[in-house]
Amino acid sequence: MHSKVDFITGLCLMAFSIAGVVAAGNFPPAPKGLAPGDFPRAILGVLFIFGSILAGNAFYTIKKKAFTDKKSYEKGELKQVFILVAVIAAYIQLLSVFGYLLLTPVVVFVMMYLYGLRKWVRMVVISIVTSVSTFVLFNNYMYVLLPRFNLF
Amino acid sequence: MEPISIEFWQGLARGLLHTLEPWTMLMMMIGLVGGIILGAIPGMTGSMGIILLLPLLYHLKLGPALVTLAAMFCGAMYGGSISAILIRTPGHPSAAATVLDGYPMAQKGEAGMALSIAVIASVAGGLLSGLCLIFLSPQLAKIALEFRAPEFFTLAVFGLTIIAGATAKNILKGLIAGGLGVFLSRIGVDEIWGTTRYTFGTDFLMSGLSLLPALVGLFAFSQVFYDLAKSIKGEVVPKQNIGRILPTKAYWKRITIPILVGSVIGIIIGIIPGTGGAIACFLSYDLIKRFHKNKDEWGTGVPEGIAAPESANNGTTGGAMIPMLSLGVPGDSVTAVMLGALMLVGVRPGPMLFVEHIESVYTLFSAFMLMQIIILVLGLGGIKVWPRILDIPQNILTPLIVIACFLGSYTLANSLNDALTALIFGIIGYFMQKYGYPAPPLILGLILGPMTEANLNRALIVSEGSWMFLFDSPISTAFVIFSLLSLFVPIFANLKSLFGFGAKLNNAS
Repeated sequence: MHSKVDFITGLCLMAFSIAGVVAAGNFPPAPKGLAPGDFPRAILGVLFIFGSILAGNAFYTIKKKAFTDKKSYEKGELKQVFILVAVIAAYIQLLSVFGYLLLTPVVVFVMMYLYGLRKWVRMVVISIVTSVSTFVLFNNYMYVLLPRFNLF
Repeated sequence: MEPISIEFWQGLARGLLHTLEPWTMLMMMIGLVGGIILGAIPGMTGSMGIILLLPLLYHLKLGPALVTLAAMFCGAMYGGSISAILIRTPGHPSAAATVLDGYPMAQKGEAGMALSIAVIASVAGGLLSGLCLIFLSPQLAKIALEFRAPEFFTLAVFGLTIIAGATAKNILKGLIAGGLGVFLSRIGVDEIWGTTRYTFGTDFLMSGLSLLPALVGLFAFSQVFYDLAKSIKGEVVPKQNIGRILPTKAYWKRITIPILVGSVIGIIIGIIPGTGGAIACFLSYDLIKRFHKNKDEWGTGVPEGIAAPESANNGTTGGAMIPMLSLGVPGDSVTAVMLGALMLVGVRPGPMLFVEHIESVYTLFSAFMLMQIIILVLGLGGIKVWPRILDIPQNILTPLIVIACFLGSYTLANSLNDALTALIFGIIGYFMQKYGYPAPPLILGLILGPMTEANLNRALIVSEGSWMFLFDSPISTAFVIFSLLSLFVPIFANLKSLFGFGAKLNNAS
């Protein structure tokens, strides 16, 4: 059980539901049947109830000190995930500038490094072969226009 | 039930001819071999395999696309047993019960025998479930053709409740994930009144959240992030002695009944939406063990302990595809992803599939049976080769999967925004996995949300605002009852620990 996390998640879900219901107040009414805001309001109402049950259960567990909240992830692991996410996000953002063929080998190399590989020649060969082969496959045979180098 | 017509058999024959076309055969082989490889690698699932196939699927006709998806599903289901037997780590939760006797058998120097029993049981389960798929799904689709708005609405609610309840250890978290999926599916322009909802003035959200980036993020990117820590530790794969490959006569006698029982259990569990192979394999393992003379031998490497779960988990493949194809409600998480993949190809599974694309359905039926035979050949022929899959270093494989994920999300609309959305869903999926929120209900919510609202609206307009439409027909009444049961039975089961295998399932997965 992740009681503290569940408690916070429950509260966030409740807040999210309230915000969604408030936003749905701006939707126009309908002459008959469901109005555009009715269905989202119903779903958000259900989510609010689920959120309150989740938060309530978690609060009860925390209060009773019955939870075994292990340190569910090591800081190192989260740091690695954060770095990987940052690398992928940067890759997607920079693709329109540097293009697939230039940027992909670099990113594959960096990711292999992040995953603990240290065989440099193998890393270089795999990075280049993968990038070129996927570029040729998608560009020439599947007619998908992958981003190209475009500084301006 | 109507008798089977001559046109049906002719259709199957035409389907077989389509299956034997070089392009379809090639795609089937890609699906099968890819599925076996991904299934054998712990952490990689059939769902991820389907995601990785998406860029290819866009370029296929419906028939070959269906065949490729089914091949990936069946291949991955068998592949999971390889790592379960050789390294005591199931490739996916459906192979968890195979570990119990498969690994001890491999340790006794009979890894080859264990692998061959697994492939024989898998193929038997697949063939029997294929027969059910062929003969049951058209009948179910005929019934579903009579559905109107109230039936579709209650069916969608049933699909949402059952998958939320059955896929989660914690039903509340499953329901939250499903509810969020339904809410997210409502972002964009309302189909009936044309009102924009929750777009925050952005053009990007006007057409709603695309299903593809959500699929790629929740099933592929999130797994990559989740496996990051494991790969850094660099686990060493132990080597096993393959030994004799084909089972002896004595072993054949011992595995025949477990295979038949396991297959039937697998098919039944597979047909029930939201269940899947993990439940089926433990249920059949427990059942066969209960009626076995020497219960004490179980866990030391008995062939029945491999045959029963392996036939059951492959039995779920055809079973799970029955509601997915005929009703548009997936039987498990892999068929949920498959459903999403088919929608991206431009086809909505459901009763109309059997009217508008019947030739493609016949191709799938014929191919499904043929692919079981190919699994047998590949499985037995490759017993000395498949263990090498486990030598592929994850630190090479995972970066390549990241690039495949990017390509999969980008190719839909040549849009970097879609790739970015997939990454965001990947982060959400990582934390969901970390804190026990299942991803399949969220995807199902995204798929069934539009169907739920549109049909509820239509039903309310026709009934002039009265909710009694829920009980106007026996089918919608039945779905209302099933929905209530699917919600409350798991809660009751959790309270009373009705299923003895529950603890084992949790431990194994």
